[in-house]
Amino acid sequence: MRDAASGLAERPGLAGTPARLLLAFAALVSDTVREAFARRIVWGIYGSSAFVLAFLAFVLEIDIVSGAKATITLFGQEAMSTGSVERLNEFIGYIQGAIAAFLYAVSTFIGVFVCAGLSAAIFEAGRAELLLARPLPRGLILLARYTGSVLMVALNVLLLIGGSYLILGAKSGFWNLAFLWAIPITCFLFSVLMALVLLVAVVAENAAVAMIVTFVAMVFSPILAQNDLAIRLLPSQFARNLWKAGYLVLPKVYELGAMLLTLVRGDEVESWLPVTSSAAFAAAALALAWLLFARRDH
Amino acid sequence: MPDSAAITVRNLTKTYVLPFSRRRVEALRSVSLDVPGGSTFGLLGPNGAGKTTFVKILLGITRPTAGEAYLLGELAGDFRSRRRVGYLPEGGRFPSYHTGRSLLRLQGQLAGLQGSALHAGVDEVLDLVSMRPWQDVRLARYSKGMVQRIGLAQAMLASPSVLMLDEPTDGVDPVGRAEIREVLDRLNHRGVTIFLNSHILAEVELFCRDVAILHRGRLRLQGAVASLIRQAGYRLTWQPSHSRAAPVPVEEEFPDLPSLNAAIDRLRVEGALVMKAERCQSSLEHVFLEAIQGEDPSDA
Repeated sequence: MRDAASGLAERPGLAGTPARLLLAFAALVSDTVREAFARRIVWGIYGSSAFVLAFLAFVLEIDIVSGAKATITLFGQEAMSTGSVERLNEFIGYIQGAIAAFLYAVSTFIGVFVCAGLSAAIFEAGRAELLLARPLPRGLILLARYTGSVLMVALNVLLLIGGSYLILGAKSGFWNLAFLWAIPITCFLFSVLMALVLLVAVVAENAAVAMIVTFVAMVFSPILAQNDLAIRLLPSQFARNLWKAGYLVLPKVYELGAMLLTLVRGDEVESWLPVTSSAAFAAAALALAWLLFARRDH
Repeated sequence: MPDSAAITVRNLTKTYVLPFSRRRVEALRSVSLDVPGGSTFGLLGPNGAGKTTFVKILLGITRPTAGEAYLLGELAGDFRSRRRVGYLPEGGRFPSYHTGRSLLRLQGQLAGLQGSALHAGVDEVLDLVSMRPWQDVRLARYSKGMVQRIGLAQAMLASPSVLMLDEPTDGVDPVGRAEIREVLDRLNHRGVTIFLNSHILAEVELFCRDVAILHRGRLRLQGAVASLIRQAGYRLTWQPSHSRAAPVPVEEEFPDLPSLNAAIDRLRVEGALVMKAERCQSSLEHVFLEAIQGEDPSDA
């Protein structure tokens, strides 16, 4: 069948606009993940995760004798002998805490490094025009980049945390469900930072600037977290208010990390404010990025 | 707004304000233009004339400062107006991690195609631009001409009614250029409006029926190529008989045959040597140069 207008074979698109937009969104998300995996560093991240899992699976051995005494061996050498299963569980908890903390810091750091480039890539001259000339709302293009980037990092977190949970659980018999808190908390932190990356990328259209601003926010978080001390030490009311505003507005990387360790240990969290305020920051950053991108000339 | 127009713009104005210096650059100055549906239209102009800005406004990539632009009857800028438009930007940067086929699949999905329609569409445009043998090769390994062909294929993918092409044969060898012209010609015969943005005048002259010339953001000339270059005349080359130095041929142009003949008679009486008399026709290049060299007080 030929289309009278174009003469090319008629190719009916999806009739309903929402369905068409959903299809385009899925295609853009998938393209973002594909672009990420075209970069060697992403294979490096996933390779490192696979290495950690292989280490836990093949090098770490745990022998439990009569359910009471446990021996932990590394590379065939006895590394630790515990007097009770409780001590073993405590030790497994330490390993899980270390993995969670390492992943929280390193995975988000590398994730920002990679995804800043991914975000800015769509603003490159010659590429932006191709995307913007498609019958799609601009916000959708931005949201798909965001989702694809978060998905790429989330898959790695899921692989490493989920994999190490299964391996350590199978070897020790200690199934610490609290360890799985590392998945949502780490993904949440990355999605908050990614909103900042995207906002700066829209404003500056530059990957390096997006990366630097986000790293500065990450580095400043533990400093800003010293809220009580700063308020006592700062000389003027203006400076104190400025500090408080910075603390309230910026994503709470440090507090979320502390919350992660508390949750992995199985303890109660005193306040969920770091989550709510960081989520509010992410929502505001995304909305602003959306607005600026929609109004920008290219 | 004419119903049959593929593109209509009225008093389109775009002023960029440069950051820091706050200097204003008028990229388009009150441009009004109609591109009839089913035509082959060339937008000409030197670098910086405002051609790309004009196309970007039509596609909603840039917003106008003033005026209106319509694409297939819908207000340009609304994403729905781009449903029946294919676009090949100048210097388009296609992600090099894609193969030709995967890029076309992605572009098809963004245009709303899926399933068998998408598959058939990709096959059809790959054949149209003769890229089927390289469909599974990554774009990173393509030559510039091959990238350009894939770019053209993605523009044609969603059965567009209007094809907007910015320097479509850039980097393509002469054989490839002829092939691309043939493909575009076939599409045009089937009713697709081809809007060519180019500074390769010979190509526009070969392919387009209508042209407009932009210069410094202002529309200088618009019309059918045939009528613009029809202004025929006669050129006479002759040599003076009593030249003391080495005789230098003189060229003179005449608007019609009687004036040419009168001049030949006069020269014969004077003993000059008539070397050549020929019919001359102004080329598009001639028309273009005249149009952009014309004085415009507002340019100052």
